[in-house]
Amino acid sequence: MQARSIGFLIGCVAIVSAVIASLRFAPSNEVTFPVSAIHTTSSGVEAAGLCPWRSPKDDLQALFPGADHYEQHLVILSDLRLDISQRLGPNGLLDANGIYAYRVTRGGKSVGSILAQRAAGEYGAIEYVMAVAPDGSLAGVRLQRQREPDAIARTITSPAFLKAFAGKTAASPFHLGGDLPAVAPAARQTARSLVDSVRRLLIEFTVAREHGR
Amino acid sequence: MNLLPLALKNLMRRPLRTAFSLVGLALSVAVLASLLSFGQGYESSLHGEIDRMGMQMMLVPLGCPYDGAARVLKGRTLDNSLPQSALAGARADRDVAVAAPIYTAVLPRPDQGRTDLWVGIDEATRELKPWWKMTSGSHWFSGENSVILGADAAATEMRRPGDKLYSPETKTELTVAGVLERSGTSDDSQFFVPLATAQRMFRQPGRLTAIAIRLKDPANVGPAADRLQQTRGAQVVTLTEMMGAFLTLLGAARKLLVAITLVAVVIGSLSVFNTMMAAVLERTQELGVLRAIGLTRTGAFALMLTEALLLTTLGGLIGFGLSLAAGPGIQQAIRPFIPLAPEGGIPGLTPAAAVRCLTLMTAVGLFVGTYPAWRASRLAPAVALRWDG
Repeated sequence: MQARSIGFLIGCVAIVSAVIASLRFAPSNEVTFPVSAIHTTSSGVEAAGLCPWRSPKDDLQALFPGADHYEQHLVILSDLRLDISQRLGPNGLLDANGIYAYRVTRGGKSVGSILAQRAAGEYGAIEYVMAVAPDGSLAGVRLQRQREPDAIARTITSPAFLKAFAGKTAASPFHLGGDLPAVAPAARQTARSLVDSVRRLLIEFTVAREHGR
Repeated sequence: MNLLPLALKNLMRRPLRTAFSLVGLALSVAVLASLLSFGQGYESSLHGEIDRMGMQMMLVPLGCPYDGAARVLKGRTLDNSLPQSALAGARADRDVAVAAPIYTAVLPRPDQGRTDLWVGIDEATRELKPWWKMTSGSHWFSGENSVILGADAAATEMRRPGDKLYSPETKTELTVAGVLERSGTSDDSQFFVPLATAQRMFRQPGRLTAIAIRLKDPANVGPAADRLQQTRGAQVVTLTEMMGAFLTLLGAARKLLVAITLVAVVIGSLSVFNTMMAAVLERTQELGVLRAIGLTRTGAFALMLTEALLLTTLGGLIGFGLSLAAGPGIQQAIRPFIPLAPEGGIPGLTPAAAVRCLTLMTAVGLFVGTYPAWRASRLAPAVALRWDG
């Protein structure tokens, strides 16, 4: 009977430990959301490298019409550093050890992924989301937030500029004035930064996918 | 006789009943410990944050002084403003060491999920906040269109010294002069610009949101407050008064919540009492046997009391675990509803709160265990052996 008593005590301690562990140290890297529960995230300060996805409902409607569910997934990149740097090209250093990807489904079938990222514009951060189709090509890019002067803002928010990203893959050139629209000199720095960021994020995600992440 | 293993074994005979008693106690202890810890943590964090502000009083526009001061301290705007002439009056006062003007403006952009907190300041703020540290490459305002960013603001906007920053709402282009190191205060998320620039950006020339005041001798806060109270269109609020008002508000709310939680503890205690009484009745024959083979009245009393104490102490310990786990969540949930919530984390379960709760649980164990233990000790072996339940 003494063994049962000790077992009971251990059981109590184990239950408490499990509760604590599940509440505080949950190692889960997946969180799922039905689209009905989607809401716009509130403002607040967040870590520089982790850009929140601010308007899931609107973005899903625009990028993956009919999508009914998404789940957050942390994609670890730290061990893919060499691969990613090589694909990025000269000065292509990995600047994040992980990214959040949101796997989107429609009727239980995967329709692609959404990634949110922050790029340094000339006058402040530009937050964008990009949609990646199951074949690895870009399905679209939408801006979440920017604080550029009107002339620059008009360029980078123009449908002509943003739609030009569609269909690009990690192997595409991403040249402003080439396969992407030319922009006015005043908007060049910001546009370049945004384009570089989109390409970098797409390469990081593509390499991760190639490694089964 | 070693009573502890025997008491444990007895509790294990009805594991479900014991578990329910434990859960009831644990939940009430968890809430009680969280409330006590939060109150202590809030008070010490508030003291720390106010100490770091380096001032003893504020001149704010007429209205609710506490609301006004709290909004300014958090970088929020006010409905009305002070004339800048009040600054000259404050600086001329014989007891004032530093009078730092503040103009705050909030630009919410809910469609973009951002809120810009602009704060206009002058050199006096550096004297008021000598603990401000700048990151490498930073310097003070170099011109009217320069901006100093709090650590979080700089991280969110990906800005470094020398970068440009644009305010689309006011069409103002600024250059980042410096970035503050993280301080754990509301400064971390603010954009600081020269006072005149803020007034120009928001078309409020000659107006101030508040004046922060540090005295040469904090002991003179009373006479200085009386004199500054005469400033036209302004009122004085001392931080001691403000903190007192907040702590009184918080204390009243906390007393109510602690009272409710104590009711939960009483209900949990009754559950333990019920468990112990049932145990005495169920084990009457067994106690009779134990008494017949030599267990003294004191021994029977001690056995039942040990069981009760074990139950309440274990419930308390599980409650501490729950409190530690749920503490951050409880903090986040109630933070928006308390005045001048400190920016940094409020300490979780404090040793003082743990000791208080453990003492309470021991007292509860003694209280609810005494009568069943006394009943057990009064059982005559002959009667007990004939007991058929």
